[in-house]
Amino acid sequence: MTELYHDIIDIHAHLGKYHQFPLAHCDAGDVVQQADELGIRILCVSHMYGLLYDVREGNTLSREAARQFPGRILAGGVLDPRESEEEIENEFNRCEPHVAMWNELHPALHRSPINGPGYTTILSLINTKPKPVLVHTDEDDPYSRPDLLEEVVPRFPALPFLIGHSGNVIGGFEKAVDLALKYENVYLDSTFSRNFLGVMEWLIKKVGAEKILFGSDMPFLNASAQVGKLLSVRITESQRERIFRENARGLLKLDSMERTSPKFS
Amino acid sequence: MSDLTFFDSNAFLGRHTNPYTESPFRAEHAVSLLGAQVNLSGLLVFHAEAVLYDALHGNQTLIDETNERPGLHRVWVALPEVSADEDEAGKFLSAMEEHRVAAVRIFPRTHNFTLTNQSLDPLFSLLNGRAFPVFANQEEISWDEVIYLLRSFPRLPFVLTNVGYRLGRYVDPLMRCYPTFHLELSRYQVHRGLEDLCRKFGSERLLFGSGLPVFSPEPVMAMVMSAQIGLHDKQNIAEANLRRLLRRD
Repeated sequence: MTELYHDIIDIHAHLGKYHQFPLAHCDAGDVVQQADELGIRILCVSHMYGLLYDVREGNTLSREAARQFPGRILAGGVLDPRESEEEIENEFNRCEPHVAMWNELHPALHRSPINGPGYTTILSLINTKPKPVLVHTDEDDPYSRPDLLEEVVPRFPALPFLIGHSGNVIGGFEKAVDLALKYENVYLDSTFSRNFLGVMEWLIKKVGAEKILFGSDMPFLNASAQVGKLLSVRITESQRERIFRENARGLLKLDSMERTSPKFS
Repeated sequence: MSDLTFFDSNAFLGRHTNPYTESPFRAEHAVSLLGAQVNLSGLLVFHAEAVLYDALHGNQTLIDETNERPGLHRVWVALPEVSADEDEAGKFLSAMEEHRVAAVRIFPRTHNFTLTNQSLDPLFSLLNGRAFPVFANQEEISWDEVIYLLRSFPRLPFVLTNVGYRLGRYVDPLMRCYPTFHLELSRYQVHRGLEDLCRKFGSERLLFGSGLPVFSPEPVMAMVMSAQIGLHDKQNIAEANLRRLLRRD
């Protein structure tokens, strides 16, 4: 297995608890410590409180984490498609200046399809100030099937769409690949809990390393396993660098951050 | 990361549903994974034919395909038919010993039986006397059946495999209450999960497993290698616990 990497950028991480199973060690300090152990330099996080209960408070907690760990944690914004257009717009205007990307739009948790009216409102707002959008996908969830994005992506060509979990399961991976091949602004997220033998090699072969970004989904998932699967995949070091760092650096426009963060090399 | 060697407690040969790698998964392919490439020292394998077609037929196929392949350790699939009474169960156990079968696996859901009506009690009674390990996938057995087995056969090591990362509230009480309950880690990819399990219950009942050929071993290896636990605990999980369970250390 390849030795530990450095300066990984994680575009899919969270903070906080989850009601379905016990999560410990999940505040900002814990997540940064885990990141240090694994060579992850920058994490884009959203707080689970925002995904599960109150979007405003969740976004505030993410912003506080970014303030607590400048240069290490970037705030990811969450918006709730079940709210009124006015509420969505107010929260967009409040949190947009502070978020590096939208992490994540979650049709499964919000029981609202990505091609429905709530997310149309959200994406139209994000499109006014384009930043990368991580969308949770899961072929097994009726709200989160990757093919629902077929109706959405062409309407927002300026938005980089990151397909969260790359469809998550067999059948979903194939649809995510189709999207990434069809649309220049669609990218895949390397995070998934079921690490099928050969799937990373298959994804990279299909869409190319320049279309895949590293995500850990910690503390929801074990970040070591997510890093480990990319360390062991048989690709060139240049491809690994793209997935671990360079693709995210480009999409998140981190060059300006590099100048203010001397440890980032 | 340290140079641990891993003994895989959860793999199988034969046909599978993973479209991203060749099917069937043949013994030659399994053997090729042993050694330098991924630090695997051995694989505990059953045969898919024993699950999808017929247990006895598939168990024989396993013997044929693993013959003279010392890195592949045999697991036989058991059915209620081999446990109809003490004589039948004794014959099955003798055949396992003759063929150096290391463990038993059961598939109650796929094979349409339940443990709680004592369908496997005669076999489990014999295995209990020898502390012969029994494995089952979490999706194949109810929690009530797990508890029935652990309570009824207190010397029988039971390994629950393919346990999803969201199931901690089921797993922890079993670890706490039943010293013969073992947890295989291929799908238990929980944030700081190994650290918490080792702190609460020790490392002796945690087993590395991959789920090959459906799942990849490397993510689980990375999870063990980078866990913030002692080297002795890592060695236990990676290899020593399974060798001890199979009496091969």
